[in-house]
Amino acid sequence: MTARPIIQIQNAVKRFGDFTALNNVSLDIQEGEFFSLLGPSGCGKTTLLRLIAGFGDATEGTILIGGEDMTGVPANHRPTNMVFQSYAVFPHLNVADNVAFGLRRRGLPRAERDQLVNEALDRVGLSGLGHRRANELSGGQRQRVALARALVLSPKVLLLDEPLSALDKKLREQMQVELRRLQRSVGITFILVTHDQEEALTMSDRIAVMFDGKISQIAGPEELYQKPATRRVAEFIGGMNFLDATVTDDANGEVTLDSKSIGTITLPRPEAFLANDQDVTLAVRPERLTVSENGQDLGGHVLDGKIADTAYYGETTHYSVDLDRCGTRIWVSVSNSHGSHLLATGQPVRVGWDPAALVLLN
Amino acid sequence: MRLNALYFYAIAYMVFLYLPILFIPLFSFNDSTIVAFPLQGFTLEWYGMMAGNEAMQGALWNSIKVGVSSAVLATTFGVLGARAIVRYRFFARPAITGVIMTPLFLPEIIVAISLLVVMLQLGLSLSLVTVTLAHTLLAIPYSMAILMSNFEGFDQSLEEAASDLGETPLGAFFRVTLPNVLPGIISSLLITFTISLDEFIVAFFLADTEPTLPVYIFSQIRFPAAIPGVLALGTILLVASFLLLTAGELLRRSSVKRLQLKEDAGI
Amino acid sequence: MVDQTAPLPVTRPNVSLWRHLRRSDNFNGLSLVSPTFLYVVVMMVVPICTIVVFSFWTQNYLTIDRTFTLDNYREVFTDPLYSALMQRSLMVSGLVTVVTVLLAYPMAYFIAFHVQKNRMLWLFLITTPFWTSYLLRIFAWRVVLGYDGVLNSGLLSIGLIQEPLTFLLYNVNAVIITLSHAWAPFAILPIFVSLQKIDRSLLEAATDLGDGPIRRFLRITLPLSLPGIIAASVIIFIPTIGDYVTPRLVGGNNGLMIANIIQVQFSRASNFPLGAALAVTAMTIVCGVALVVVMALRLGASRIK
Repeated sequence: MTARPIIQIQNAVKRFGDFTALNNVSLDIQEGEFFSLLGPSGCGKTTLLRLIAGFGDATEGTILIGGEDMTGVPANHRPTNMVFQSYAVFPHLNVADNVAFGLRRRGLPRAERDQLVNEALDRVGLSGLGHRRANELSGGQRQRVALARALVLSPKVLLLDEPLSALDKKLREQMQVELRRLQRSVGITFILVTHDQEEALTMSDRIAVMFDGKISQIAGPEELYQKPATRRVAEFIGGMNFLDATVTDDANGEVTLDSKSIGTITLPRPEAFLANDQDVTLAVRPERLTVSENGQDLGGHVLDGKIADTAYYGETTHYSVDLDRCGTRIWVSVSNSHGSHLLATGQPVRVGWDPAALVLLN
Repeated sequence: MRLNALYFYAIAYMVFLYLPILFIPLFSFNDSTIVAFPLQGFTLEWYGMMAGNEAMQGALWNSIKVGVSSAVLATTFGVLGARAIVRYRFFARPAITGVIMTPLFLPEIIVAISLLVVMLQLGLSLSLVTVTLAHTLLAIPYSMAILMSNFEGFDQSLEEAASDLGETPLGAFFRVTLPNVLPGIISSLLITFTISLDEFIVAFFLADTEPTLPVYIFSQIRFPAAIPGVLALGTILLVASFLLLTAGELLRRSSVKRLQLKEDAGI
Repeated sequence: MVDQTAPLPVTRPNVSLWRHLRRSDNFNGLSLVSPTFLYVVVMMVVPICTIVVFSFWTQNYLTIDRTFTLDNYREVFTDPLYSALMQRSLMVSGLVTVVTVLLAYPMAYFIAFHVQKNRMLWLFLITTPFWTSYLLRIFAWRVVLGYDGVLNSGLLSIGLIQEPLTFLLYNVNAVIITLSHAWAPFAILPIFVSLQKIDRSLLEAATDLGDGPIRRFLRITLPLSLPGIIAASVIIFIPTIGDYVTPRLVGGNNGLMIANIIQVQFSRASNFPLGAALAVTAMTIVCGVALVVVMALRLGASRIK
């Protein structure tokens, strides 16, 4: 079965005066997908979400929802509903009236409307709170009202604009799980805007990382984390070590690289074109490295160095190691699961690495 | 120590603000035509005399007509202007805002004489309509100030949410915006009405054949025999103004309280 | 069905021009603000321009001579009566402004820094007298300061004075007291707002860096509240110059101000062009003085280190 994209964004450009908020963005989002737009503030992710919702039209390009061109279609005629960052729960209405807000325009019989409202409240865990006034609700409850209010209209797509940013850490983590479960149970497309990489990784089927109004990479969480397409994406999604290298040979589907830090190494050839003598960057996640004392032979590739700094995080310990070979400082993250003792600053160590963990960026 | 000195200063200041005004109600119950100590005894005679005073009742009626019309007009203009200024970033916005707020700084005599000249040049006769139009002008900045702060407290995403949930722009205005800014609008109506009710300088210039209440009072101040009547009328005006303002303030506060919701959510 | 591979045309069809307009801030904002703006223009700007034009005309009984002339201004600037009234008006307005702001500052400071719970109640109580009839407030002072008024009769009856004091009413002092009382709330509000905005940690930082309370006030609080002081001064100084009721009711012959003579030109004397010239001159001078004072205050504040 070929899934048809529910949302197609084609060459969308949005300018505010001289400022280009979105620069030629194209993107397909599939039906039933939990899709995240991830990026730092000002990267255009909220602009894109608002264009999908119908708050303003793209300066250039087209947005299609369910195959229909949405140009000029205002928000109230689009099959999307939104959960606002501030939740925008109507302060003059109680919870039930908030949820019934959109239904009232549909001329349903009262009993049917009440039933839909109650179902929606049940679904978000607000059963029995219909009579509460908006200003009697906690932040988390307001967010649930905003969710119920949008979902009760059975939109094709639910848009979530930084919905968790106003909540404290514990509630945020709980809501991440709940939102994911909710999306599975209603089965519609969710588009989440967030600047929190962890949030995007835990919740999404696919993530688009955006910088400066452009999409840098679209991928599933694992691919995004393990195979970031650019150095910027790699830096934004967790920490990484970056090592300079030069291409020396490119043959038989393999490239040979020479790096001051780790010497000569041969890797499978990436899709991107590489020329001889081209400068590239090798990236490796700190948790894909190991560190051991006493010059123990780990087998495979090793680098000698000295501990320069130690940061203890409970679950993990982060070591920064100065490599003997070239003085390059790299980060190693070690799980503390085995009750291993801390290594002291200045102690000579051996860092083990696996070529499969290296990501080639150009 | 410093706090105490400041506190006493504050009390003294309030006494300075209120004491002269409070002499008006005090002497309005005094059984003497001369406004002087010692007090001569309690009487309601001056209030009773108002019942048969047709000139005064006519002036009162004029004041109410002018006050209600200019309050409605000024608040309508205030709603339009305040919403435009708070909501949109348009060409020459600061300059336009400045012009609209200017009547606040303008000496009332300038407003009075310039309107007088224009009316006479256009061959229009002076009437309560002229006074109403002028009072509207004077009240617009106050209405704007109240409504702008009211609209600023109103989260724009509420309207977007209404639109997102399927409501038309007009529907969103009536179902979401209006209920939330209504207390501010009523507060603006009450305050602009009070301004018109109390305004003298412009009314004196622009409507001498149809006096409003302050114009009537002014005409009476000259006659010592009429002073007790003025005191009684003044007392009623003071009480009425105070009640209107209190109502306006309470409404404004209830709306602020309700809209505070948004601030909490932002934290 | 939309062809998904072909590049989409960038140009928008004409039908969307209206839509485009409806979504532009300029169109929405200007169309929404224009009724209010036009009303103010028609009711204020146009009449004031008319007054300016009038000031260059002359009047013979009831007919207006529309030939351009500077005669009115010549009269305004040569007649010693007018310049005396002008000077007195500026002095009265200036003094009222200074007195009002000086009296208001500690009050605003008190509410901003020392009232925690009932701040809105204090502000409400302060502003309420302003909304109560202006005429009644002047009248109240007449009652208080009159020859056989409250103050004199009160002092007489407790034996502090043997004869009524005559210097209370019908002079410039009475005008200044009455006007200061009338404008008090207008001074407190802007000063309060500017004090309220001051970040409390700035004051703590100044103390931490070694300033005592007085130096801290002079170096931090006062300069930061200057916008409020300026706003209060302008909002009092300019309108008071146009007041003719207070001088007339409590000022006596020696307390009259420029607005009284303007009022006379527009009523009994019925010389509109001369009245217009007086009004234009007065407004120009007042705005000029206000501008100079504001600039001087700003300059002075920038010198505080």
